[in-house]
Amino acid sequence: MDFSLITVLVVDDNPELLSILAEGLELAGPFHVLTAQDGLQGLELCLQHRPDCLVIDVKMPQINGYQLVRLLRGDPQTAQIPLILLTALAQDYERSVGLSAGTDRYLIKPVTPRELAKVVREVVALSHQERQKRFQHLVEVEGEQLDE
Amino acid sequence: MNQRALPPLVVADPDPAWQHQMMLLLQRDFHCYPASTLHEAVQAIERVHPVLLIMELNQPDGDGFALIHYLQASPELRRILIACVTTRSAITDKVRAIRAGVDDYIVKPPDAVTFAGRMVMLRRLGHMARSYA
Repeated sequence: MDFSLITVLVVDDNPELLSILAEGLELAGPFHVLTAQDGLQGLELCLQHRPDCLVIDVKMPQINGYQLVRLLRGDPQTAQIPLILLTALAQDYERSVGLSAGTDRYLIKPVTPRELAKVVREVVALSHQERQKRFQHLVEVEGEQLDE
Repeated sequence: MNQRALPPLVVADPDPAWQHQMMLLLQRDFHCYPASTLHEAVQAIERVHPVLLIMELNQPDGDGFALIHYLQASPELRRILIACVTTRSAITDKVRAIRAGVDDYIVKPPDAVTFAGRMVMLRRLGHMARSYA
């Protein structure tokens, strides 16, 4: 796969962080990077540009990151797009909420652009079948633990 | 498996085929109660106090948003998790639903492989996700 062709949409309501992430990813990829400042704009740009991967902040107004992940996974048009949640929320249950919403990876800030670029390449390489398998595993293993 | 031990869930969809298919996918993890109209959905909700409502927004006796607002206005009923499984795919509907308090939004057809698991995880963690809005 030619990774230089990968388009990444970064969604974060903090303009400073958004800019740092976008510039960092463009250099570390190199990727074509699009940016959105909230969940709604993220949703619109995603349908418009069909990026190869989304990097989504969790805490955002209007539509938070978990909700955005659910909306994207819940629509056959966008269900197969690789998704990464990027957050300062490091509790185990927060990670579980993120993964159960359907994100491929849950990364705790701070993350260097080089690390993020590596994860983008990993999730873009995932097949839809592998994604479904991982989710089923999450339901079986992590779901049982949550019930205990 | 003992059906009585399963958490109750209401599937409100006027299309018998969709209703049947979703109940088939969910019956291992939930005790499913069908409803074919908003009126039937309200009756089922008041009778069985479901943990989760799965709802098509297009209903023969009104718009599904009316039921969402009805549930959200009640301190008791607003605890019920809501998943829209609907033919409506417009961003405006999705955003309106999330803002109205819907916990999940799936455009038909749902992914048969992950649908039940998605509802199971929603039941277990859905209330936590609400707090990040």
